[in-house]
Amino acid sequence: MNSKLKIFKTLFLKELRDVLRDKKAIMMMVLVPVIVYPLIMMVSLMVSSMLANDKDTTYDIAVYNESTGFDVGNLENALKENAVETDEEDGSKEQLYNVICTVSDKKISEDQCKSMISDKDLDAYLEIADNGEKVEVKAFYMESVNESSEAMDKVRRAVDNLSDGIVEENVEKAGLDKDSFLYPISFEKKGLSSSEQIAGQILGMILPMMIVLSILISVMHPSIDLTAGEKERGTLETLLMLPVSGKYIVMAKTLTAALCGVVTAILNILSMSVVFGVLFEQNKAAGLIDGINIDFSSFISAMLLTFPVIIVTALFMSAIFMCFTCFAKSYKEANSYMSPVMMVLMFLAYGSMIPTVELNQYVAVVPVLNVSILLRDALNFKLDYTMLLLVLCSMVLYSVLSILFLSKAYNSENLLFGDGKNAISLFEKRSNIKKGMSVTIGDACFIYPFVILVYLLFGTLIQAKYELAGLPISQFLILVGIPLAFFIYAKKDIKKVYSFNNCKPLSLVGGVITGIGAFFVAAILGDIIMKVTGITIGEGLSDAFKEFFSHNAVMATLCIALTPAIAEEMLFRGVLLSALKDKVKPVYTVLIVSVLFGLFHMDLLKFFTTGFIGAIFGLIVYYGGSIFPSMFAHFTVNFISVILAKYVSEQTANMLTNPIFGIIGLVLVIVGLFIVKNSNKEQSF
Amino acid sequence: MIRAKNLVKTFTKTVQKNKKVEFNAVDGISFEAEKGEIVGLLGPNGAGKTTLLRMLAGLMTPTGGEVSVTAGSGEITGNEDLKRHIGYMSANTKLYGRFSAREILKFYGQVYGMEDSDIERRTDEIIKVLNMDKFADNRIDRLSTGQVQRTSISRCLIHDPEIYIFDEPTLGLDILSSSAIIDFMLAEKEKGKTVIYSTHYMEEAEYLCDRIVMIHEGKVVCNDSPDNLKKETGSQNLREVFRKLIENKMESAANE
Repeated sequence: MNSKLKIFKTLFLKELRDVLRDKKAIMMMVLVPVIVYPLIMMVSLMVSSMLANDKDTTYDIAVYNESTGFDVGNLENALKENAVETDEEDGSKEQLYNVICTVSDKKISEDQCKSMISDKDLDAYLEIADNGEKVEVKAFYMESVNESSEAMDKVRRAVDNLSDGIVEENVEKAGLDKDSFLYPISFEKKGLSSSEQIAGQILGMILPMMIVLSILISVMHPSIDLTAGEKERGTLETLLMLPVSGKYIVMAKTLTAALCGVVTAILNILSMSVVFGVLFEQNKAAGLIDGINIDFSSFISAMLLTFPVIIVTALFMSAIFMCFTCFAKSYKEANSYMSPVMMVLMFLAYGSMIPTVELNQYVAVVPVLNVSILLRDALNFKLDYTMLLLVLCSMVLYSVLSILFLSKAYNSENLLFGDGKNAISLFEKRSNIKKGMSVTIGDACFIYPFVILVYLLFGTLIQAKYELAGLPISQFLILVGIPLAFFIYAKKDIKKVYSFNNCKPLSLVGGVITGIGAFFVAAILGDIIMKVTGITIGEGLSDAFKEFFSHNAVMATLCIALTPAIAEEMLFRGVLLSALKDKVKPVYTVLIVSVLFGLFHMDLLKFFTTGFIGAIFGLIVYYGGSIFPSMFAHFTVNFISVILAKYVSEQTANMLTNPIFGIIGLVLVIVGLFIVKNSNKEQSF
Repeated sequence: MIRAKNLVKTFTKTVQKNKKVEFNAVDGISFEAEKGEIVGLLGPNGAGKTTLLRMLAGLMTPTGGEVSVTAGSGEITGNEDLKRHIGYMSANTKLYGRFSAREILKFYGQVYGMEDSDIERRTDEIIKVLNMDKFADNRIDRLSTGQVQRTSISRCLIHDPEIYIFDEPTLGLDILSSSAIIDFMLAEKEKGKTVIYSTHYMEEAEYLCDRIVMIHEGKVVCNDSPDNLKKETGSQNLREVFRKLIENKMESAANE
C-alpha cells in the first residue's frame, strides 16, 4: 500500500509541476486574484467617489412666471440653500453643486425646450401660473438626460420646501401650534444590529459569490488542460502505459486542479481583505465613516469555516469539470463542453445574493448553491452545524461520484481512443466483481457521505413522524441497510467488513466495564468544555432528547440504547474501521473514525464527547478484534443515559461532574480495555 | 517471449447516419516473438497494425483471443504486471513538453517503483547510450524531432523491459537519427530482448528483422524470415514481396 501511496504522490507531483510550468495557469491562479481584482475594485471605487463628489456640476433652470403671487426669488433662494450642506458639528459649509436660475420673459415651446436640453443649454424649464387660489408649477425636463432629471429632483425639493413654508405660515396665522398640528406623530428609528452584523450582512452578499467564482475560474484551466489538453498533446497514451490503475491517474488530476482552486481562493480572500482593510482605514482617516468600529476578529470563525468549504468546492468543481472535459479531444472542444456547465454553476453561485433563499435541508444538497449560502450564513453569524455537515457531505459525495465516473472513463478504451461515447457504467458489473473482498477506503468515501446525507434528509423526517420508533427504523434502514445492500451487491465478505468475529464472554464484560468508564469520563469532559468555552448542547437536540426519554423505560432502552449500539457500531466500528485499518496506521484509523462519529452527532459539544467515546470504542475493536465488545460498551453508555434521565434527579446526576468520577472512569476504561485485550490473544487488527 | 493467440478486436463504425456496422480491425491474428528476436510488422495503412500493437501492449482489451507474455520468472498475469515488462512507443505516445528528458525519466522510474539511486544510475546509462547529453536537461518542446524520438525511446528503457513494442519508430526521421534507433534495436536484440515493431520502410525491415509478419485487413498474410519470403515469392527484395502478396490479396478481394 505504501508503494501505491508513493506512486500516487509521484503522479500528483508530476501533474502539479506540469500545471505550474504552464504560464496560462499561473496567470489565472495568481495574477487575477492578486492584481486584477484589487485593481478593478480600486478603479471602480475611485470612479464612483469621483462621480459622487462632482462639485462643478451646474444646473441651468429657466423660469417663466405668469403668476402674480409667486416670487421666483424665493424659489431661487430655496434652490441655492439646498445646494449647500452645513456640517452639524462644526458648522462648516460645503457647496455640493451650483444652480443658475434665469427668468425668461417669453414662454418656451416644448420642442424648443427639448432641443435646448439636448444641447445642454438648459436642464429644466418651469412654467408658473395662477390657477384660482393655487399656484401651478409645470416643470419640463427630459428623463433620458441624466443632468436634466437630476435638476428636476432639485427643483422638486425646492418647491416642496417653499410649499411647506407657506403651509407653516398659514397654520401660524390661524393661531395653531405648527409643531403639534403639522407633525402630530414623531418617528425615530434605532438600528440594533452591531456594526459587525451590518458588515457581515454586506460581506455575506458579495464574498461567497466572489469566492465561488474565483475557484471556478482558476479550476477551469487546469481541468481542461490535464484532460482534453493532455489528449490533444498526445501524452495520454504514454501515461496509460504506466502500470497504474486509472483511478490513481484521475485522482492525481482532480487533486491538482482542486489545489489550484484552493490556492486562488485563498489568495483572493487575502488580497480582498487587504484592499478592504486599506479602504476602511483610509475612509476612517478621512472621517467618512465616523463612529463605525468593526471588530474584524469576530469574522475569524467564519474565515476558518471557509477553509473546508473552499476545499470541498474546489474538489467538486475540478471533478465535475473533468467529467465533461475528458470527453473532448482538444482544448477548444472542451471549452465548448464547459460553457453550459459554467453557466449553471455561476447561476448557482449567485444564490447568496438572493436574501430569500435560506439554507434548509433541500437547498443544502444543491451543489455550489449550498456552499454559497453556507458562507453567507457564516458571515451573518447564524451558522447551523447540522447544515454544515450536510453541505460538506453532499459536496464530498458528488465529488466521489464524479471521480468514480472519471476513473471508469479513464479505463474505457472508447473514451481514450475516441471512436464512440458508449455508455460508461458507474458501477462495476456484478459478474466482474471479485468475491469475498473487504471494504476499501474508496467504498467508505462513498458510503459515509451517502449514508449521512440520506440520514439527515430522510432519517429526521422518519423520526419526526414516528417519534421514538422512528429512531430504530431510520437507524436500521439507513445506517445498516444501505451499506449492507451495497456489500451484498459487491459480494463483500460481510463477516470481515463488520468484524463479526467470535469473542470470549469475558471480553464482553470488558466492553461493559469500558463503557461505564467512558461514560464517566465523557460526562466530565463535556462539563469542562461547557464551563471553559461556554458551548452548550443545541436547543433542538436537547428537546428531542427530552421527548425521547419521556417514553417508558423498556421502549427507551430498546430504541435509545440498543438500536445505536448495533446500528452505529456496525457503520462506524464496522464499515469505516475495516476500510481504514489495513491501509492507515491504527492511531489514525481510530482518530479518523471517532471524528466521523463525532460529526455524526451534529452538535458542537457532542462532537467532542461522542468523539471521545467513539475513540474508546475504536480501541475496544482494535484490542478485541471483534465488534461485539464495542457494541456492549455502546449499549452500556446509552443505557446509563436512559437510567439517569428517567430515574435519577438532576441534582444527583450533576454529582457526576465531580472529578473523582473522572478518575474512577479513567481507571475503569483502562481495566476494561486490559480485559478486552487479554481475552483476545489470537485475533488482532 | 510474447504470444498473440487468435486476437480479435471489433469496432463499430458509423456508416451512415444512425447506422452502425461492426467490423474486425484485427481478425484472428496469431504469432509469437521469441527472446532475442526482432519481428517486423508490415502492412498497408489501415491493416490493423496499431490496434494489434496496442493490444499486445495492454492498452486495449481484445474482443477475443489472448496475449500471453513470459518474462523473468515466468508467465505474466494481469494488465499492470504486463505493462511492467513492456516498453511501448508509437506516434501517439508523446512526452510532456514542459518537462526535460531527465525529469521524464525520473517520473517514469518512480511510477515503475524504482529506487531513486537506481533511477539515477539507469538515466546516466541511457543518456550515454542514446547520446543525449546535449539536450537531456532542456525542455522537450524545444527539442528537434530526432531528439524527441530519442527521448521517447529512453522513456521505454528506464524500467529495463524484456519486450519492446515500437509502432513506426523511424517515421519522419533523418538517416542519422533513424540509424541510431536501428542500432539500438540491434543492441537490445543482442542482450536477448524481444522487439516487435511496425514500419513502412522495407529496406529497414529487411536489414533488421529476423521475421516478417505481414497483415492485411486484420489477417496475417505471411509469417516468415525475409530470406524465405523472398525465395517463396521469387522476389529480389522485400518491397517486391510486399507488393506481390498484398496486391494479390487486393485483387482477389476486388474479384469477389
